Amino acid sequence: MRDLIDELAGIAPGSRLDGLRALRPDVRGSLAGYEAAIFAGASGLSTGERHAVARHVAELNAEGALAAHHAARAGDSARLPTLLDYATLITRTPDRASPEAIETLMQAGLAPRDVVMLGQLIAHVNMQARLLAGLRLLEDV
Amino acid sequence: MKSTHDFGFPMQSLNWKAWAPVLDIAKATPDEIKVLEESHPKAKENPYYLLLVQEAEVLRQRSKLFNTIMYGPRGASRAERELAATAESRLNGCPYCASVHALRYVQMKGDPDLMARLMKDGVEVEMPPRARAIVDFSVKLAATPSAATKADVQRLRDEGMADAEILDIILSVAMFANANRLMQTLGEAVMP
Repeated sequence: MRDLIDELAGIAPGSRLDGLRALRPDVRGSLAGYEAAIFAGASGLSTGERHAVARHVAELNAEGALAAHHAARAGDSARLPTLLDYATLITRTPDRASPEAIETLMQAGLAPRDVVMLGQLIAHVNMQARLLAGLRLLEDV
Repeated sequence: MKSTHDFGFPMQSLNWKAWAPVLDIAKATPDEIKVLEESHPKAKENPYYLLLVQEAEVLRQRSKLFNTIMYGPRGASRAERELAATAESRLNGCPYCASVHALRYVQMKGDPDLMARLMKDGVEVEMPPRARAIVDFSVKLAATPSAATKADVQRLRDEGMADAEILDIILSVAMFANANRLMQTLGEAVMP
C-alpha cells in the first residue's frame, strides 16, 4: 500500500526505494493510520488549524512538498499564531519546553486532549521530515 | 534559561510527570483500556500514556508504528536501532527517553561502557568506527534533516550496513524526532 511519504518522495511502484520500503509493510500501514487519526479525527483543533500547523512545521524543516500538501487545506483562527509559536518552539528547541508553554495553550482555549493532539501533530510532521530526508539519501546505490 | 538538558542523563530508570491533566484510569472507556494495553505493558500506570490516551486512536496508530520500527524482525540489529534512538535523545535533551533506550541498548548486547560515556559526556565521545558512523548520521538527521548527506550514508555502507539496515536507522531517528518531542515537551523526567 502506497502512503503519503511515497507520494511526496516520488517513490514509483517497483523502484529500488519501493522495494526497500516494502520490507517494512507495517510501517507504511501504521504511518497512514497515524496520519489519518491526526488529520481526520474529531478534535477541538479545527481541520484548518491542524493543516496550518503541519505546513508550518514542514516549512521549518525545509520540506517544501510536505508544506505544499498541507497548504491547500490550511485555515486561520484567532489563536493560530499561538499554535504556530508553540510549533516553532517544539520543532526547533524542544529542550526549551516548559509547563508555562502548555499553560499558554490552555489559556488560548485548548483542552488537555487538544494539547495532546497538537503535540502529536508537531511530533508527526517532524518525524516525516526525517524520513523524507533519509529516503532521498538512499535513492542512489 | 532553563533547558531539559539540565536534569542530566543518569543511566537508570526514571519517572515522568505530566504538565497537562492525564486520564483518570477509573474513568477509562473499554477502548481506552485496549489502546493502553496495546501500547506498553505498564501503560495503565504510566502518566505519559495516560496523557496520550486522551487521543486514543492517535495513540493506537502511533504505538503500532513505534513497535514495528523499534522491535520489527530482521534489518538493523535491535542494539543499533537503540543506539540511534539514544544518541538523538541525548542530543535533543530528553533524559527519560535516553535512559530507557540506553538501558535497552545494553540489554540488547550493546557496549555498556560506550553507552555510559555517551550518556555522561554526550554524542561526541570516542567509539568504534561503525558506532561512530551510526551516531554521526543519526545526530545530523535529528538536528537538521538536510544536514545528513550521501557521504554519511556511504560511511554506513562502508561499515558493512545494507541499505535495508540503513533505512531502519533512518526510521529509528524519525521515530525519536517524534518521541522526544512528545516526552520532553508534555512533561518532565523526575527521580524515582
